Amino acid sequence: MPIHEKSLIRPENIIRHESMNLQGVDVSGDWSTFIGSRTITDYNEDMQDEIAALPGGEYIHRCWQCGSCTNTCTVNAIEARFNPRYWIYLIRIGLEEELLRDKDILWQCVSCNKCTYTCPRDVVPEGVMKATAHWLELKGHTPDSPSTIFDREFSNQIFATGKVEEGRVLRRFFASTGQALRQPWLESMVIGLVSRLPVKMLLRLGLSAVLRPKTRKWSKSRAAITDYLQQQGRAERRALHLSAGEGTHV
Amino acid sequence: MSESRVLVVGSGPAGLSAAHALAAAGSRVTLVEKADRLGGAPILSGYARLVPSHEWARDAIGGMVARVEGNQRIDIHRSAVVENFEGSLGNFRAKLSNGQVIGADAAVLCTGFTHFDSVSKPEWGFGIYPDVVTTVQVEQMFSSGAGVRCPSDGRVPDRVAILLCVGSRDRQIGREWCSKICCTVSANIAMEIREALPKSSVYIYYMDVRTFGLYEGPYYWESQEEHRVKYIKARIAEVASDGKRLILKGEDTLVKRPITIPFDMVVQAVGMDPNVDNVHIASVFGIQLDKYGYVRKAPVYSAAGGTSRPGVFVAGAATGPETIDDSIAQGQSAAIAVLAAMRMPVQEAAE
Amino acid sequence: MTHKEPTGDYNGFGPGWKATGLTPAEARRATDWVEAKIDRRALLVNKDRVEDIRERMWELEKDGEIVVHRIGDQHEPVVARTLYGWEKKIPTNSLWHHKSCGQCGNIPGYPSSILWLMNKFGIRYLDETDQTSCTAWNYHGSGIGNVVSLAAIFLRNFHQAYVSAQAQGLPVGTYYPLVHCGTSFGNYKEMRIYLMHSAELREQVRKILGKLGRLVDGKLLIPEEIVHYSEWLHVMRHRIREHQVVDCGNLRATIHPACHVYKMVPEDVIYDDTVMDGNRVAVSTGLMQTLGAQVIDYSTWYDCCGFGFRHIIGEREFTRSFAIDRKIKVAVDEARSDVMIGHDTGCITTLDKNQWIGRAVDKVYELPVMADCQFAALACGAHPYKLAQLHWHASPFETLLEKLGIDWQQAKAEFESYLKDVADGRFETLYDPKRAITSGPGFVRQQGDQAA
Ligand SMILES: Cc1cc2nc3c(=O)[nH]c(=O)nc-3n(C[C@H](O)[C@H](O)[C@H](O)COP(=O)(O)OP(=O)(O)OC[C@H]3O[C@@H](n4cnc5c(N)ncnc54)[C@H](O)[C@@H]3O)c2cc1C
Ligand code: SF4
Ligand code: SF4
Ligand code: SF4
Repeated sequence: MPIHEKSLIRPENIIRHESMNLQGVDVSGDWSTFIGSRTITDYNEDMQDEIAALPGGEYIHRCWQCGSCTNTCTVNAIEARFNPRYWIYLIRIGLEEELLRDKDILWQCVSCNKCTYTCPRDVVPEGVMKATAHWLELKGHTPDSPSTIFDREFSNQIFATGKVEEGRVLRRFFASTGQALRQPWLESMVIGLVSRLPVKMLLRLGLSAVLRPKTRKWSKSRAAITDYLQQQGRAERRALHLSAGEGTHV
Repeated sequence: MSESRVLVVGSGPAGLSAAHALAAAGSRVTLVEKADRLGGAPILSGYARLVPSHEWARDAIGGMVARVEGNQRIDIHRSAVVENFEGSLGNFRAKLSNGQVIGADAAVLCTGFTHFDSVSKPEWGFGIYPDVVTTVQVEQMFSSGAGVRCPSDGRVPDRVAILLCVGSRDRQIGREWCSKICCTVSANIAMEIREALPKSSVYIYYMDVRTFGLYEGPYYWESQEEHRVKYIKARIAEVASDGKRLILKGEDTLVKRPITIPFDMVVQAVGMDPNVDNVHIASVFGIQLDKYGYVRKAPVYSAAGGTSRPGVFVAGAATGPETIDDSIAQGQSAAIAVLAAMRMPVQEAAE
Repeated sequence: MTHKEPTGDYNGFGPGWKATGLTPAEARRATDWVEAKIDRRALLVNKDRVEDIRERMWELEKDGEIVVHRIGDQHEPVVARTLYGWEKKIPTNSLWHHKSCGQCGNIPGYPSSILWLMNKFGIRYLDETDQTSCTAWNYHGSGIGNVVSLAAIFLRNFHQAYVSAQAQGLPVGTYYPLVHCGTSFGNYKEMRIYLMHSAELREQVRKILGKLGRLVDGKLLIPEEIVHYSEWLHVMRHRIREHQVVDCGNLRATIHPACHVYKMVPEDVIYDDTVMDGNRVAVSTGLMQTLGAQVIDYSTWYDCCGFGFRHIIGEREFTRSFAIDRKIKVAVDEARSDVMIGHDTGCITTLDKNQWIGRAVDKVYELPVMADCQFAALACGAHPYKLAQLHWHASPFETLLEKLGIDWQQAKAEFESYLKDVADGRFETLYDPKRAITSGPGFVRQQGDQAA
């Protein structure tokens, strides 16, 4: 008893036991296969407000589903499932389960902002994409994306010292994303740098890597920034009904 | 020329406006109203705050009623209908159900509409589940001060669904018109519910949203931007109950998935049917109805407010779904048409 | 009086409306009457796509194209009202049983309950073998049905019902067909509409039936009404109640209204203002209420069972998933139902037989499912095993019997001893099997039948 039009059924809705015996009867495979219902049975009423509470999502409620953003979207041209209009609808109505199906492609937004330029309702869809990606991470639906991690290493360093030292950012980024430090492209880049840069410059680079110089009188600024970020992070977590945790970047 | 006498039938916004305009212009008006009170649907059905003024119906329309009731030139017959009407322009005689016979040079029909009876769509649960109500009932919940509560047990509804186009745009039941105002009225009601019950959410299920003209901003968008009312493109197929709450079934057409969503209260945005009296009115006044059952208008380019019979004019929702503002405008415009029709012969003689 | 008659093109809510030319006073009275009686079904009648196909049938008969098999006095008809308030005559006596393939094969207690009830009421009937499957299963299952063959089979079977009484020396038309199967019922009604509308189809069918000798005076024979057994039960419900011996008062019943009984050709389905205010199809619900059971509404009342013809054979994953999730689970969780009552072969089979495999996904609901006639028979004291044959059902029914105060253990013991009798060739029948053969080899005229 095969399901003839299996391709029409979402794989996650097919419940199948390759081998099963019930009360002495072999019901393996098709004999006990079930198809879960695709009916939507509730709305997540908080979703629109949660995403609107994150930077970029503020204007989501203005969308009227015209599709201009999707039409103009750089990514949609090659990835049919990347559809900002559709996601905005899902978020506005609270169809969380449907949005989560696309959670792994949502980060693909190239931030070209063509959508923002075209949107007749000033929704700023690009911002909504960012807010949504952020929401997915905060809610634990997606692991922190490489760009989030990079961003965090980058910003944390600036918050700590007021300066950024690329070598350190890269090293820490590789470490926290589980990548080997010796990347062929990086090696050739470093070799290239060493062979071309003046010696004085190289020395300064080396020194700053070891001594980690700070911007003068940074500690005050640091305290202010950290404070602000923590506040911000707490507010976001509150808006998302998450338990108080650390701020976004700190 | 002696002062003209005009019969106005029906005292809703259209009739009140026609009667006032005619009296102000010096005519004697006989106003015949079937109900025991003046005011038409907004008063008789107890509407709350009106679109677009946000004034309470009892103040806005009530003011129009007081103005007419206080006018010496207007003779009012309540709880009365016209039983017989004969003669021609400038010389009509009407017999009323209260036995009175009055003379009139012309008549203006302002007999309005009838609310769609939701029991005609049993799949939407009206009459089966007490918490399925109509927009009229919600208007009354507001205007009576009782507040929006589930009729079954008086609880505050956590979640309210408004279904648009109930009894409109439905070939199944032979109502192929758009009732024009119910989208805006629904947006208005949705905002009022959100204001009164900020913890409750309101969803509007639509096929199209027709908050036409200037209603776009203050109703369609304000309801979403300020009041977080949600619009879902789905025509609800069925309202059922799981024994605790109402269950709405339909397709979320933008997601292409069926929905069975629980709600505490379902509000049906009922449409405007032709007045159930129209067959009778047409027969008494010797006028034609259009194919939907509303009073047929004469070609508008010669004179607004005409019917198929010279000397009999029409205004307001008697001609099809209308807003209050437009009904009032049509009442005044019919008054002008009456005066013009009566002056015409005189002018011709003078030339 | 100078008032003119309205001559506009106002056509009410459909094209059927014409200016009546009433005087104002008459019009007033008529309006008052309508307002007083305003009935949603009366409103609905006016929708232009609804037509009472029987009117066309009478016209065709008048034109000499067809012969109508009438429901006469010997059929003791009871008049019921359908969706739009039209009348439908339901014959209650002198019936010809049009059996259901799936019932006889799958749910033997289904037809036996109908016959048993008829015996109890002393109803005259003919239960003969000379009939064929309606073949509508194939029609729905393959999606490529042949309308000519379906229509020919419909009229062939009903012609046999018409002439069958001759075997007993009775005049033609004595027995009126009563259709057991919902699929056949829906299909026959659909075919009747096509036949009434298409002269071409009538011609093709006439040719076929001519060859089979199944015309009456060279014309097609069309039944006045197509009647389902559940309609018979419905109009008999008060008489059934008189024979009731089992108290059903503490029973919570859910109803599954079959798609092909009440959703196909909906204008022919019985609605009754005394049964849930006319908001639900009356058959089965009315019976259960009359027997004293509480009929509980549930949110998927209107839904299909999931049978789906091709699916129950070729794609049972769909059928069982739908049946359990959309019907059984809801009836148990929401309505806390003790029993689900249906009135069609496919639904009873689907809803009953698919329950067991629910275990594979931990959906164990154990809701007894049976036909309205089986339940009625039980309520009138029929034997749960010998007659209602509940042991063929996959869903457990013992708890239900206990709730009804029926000692199933004793009944089972009786049944087991009866099985020994059967093995020894001693069995009981509801109907003299000799009468089941009405022509050809094996046909013996029975004593007591009138001479031809
Ligand atoms: C729920 C709902 C809310 C609405 N809210 C708004 C709103 O906020 N803003 C807006 O612009 N519009 C609104 N409308 C539309 C509004 O009701 C109509 O535009 C308006 O009532 C039309 O006025 P009318 O005078 O033509 O007719 P009606 O108000 O229907 O008045 C007709 C009058 O004629 C009388 N009558 C009827 N038959 C006879 C007879 N045979 N003899 C004598 N008298 C008779 C009636 O008793 C009645 O008093 C709403 C409509 C609905 C259904
Ligand atoms: S910013 Fe993102 S969503 Fe917008 S058009 Fe570019 S890729 Fe598409
Ligand atoms: S362009 Fe703007 S309004 Fe249109 S669908 Fe995209 S976000 Fe919505
Ligand atoms: S105004 Fe809106 S709700 Fe009313 S009939 Fe028209 S589209 Fe439907």
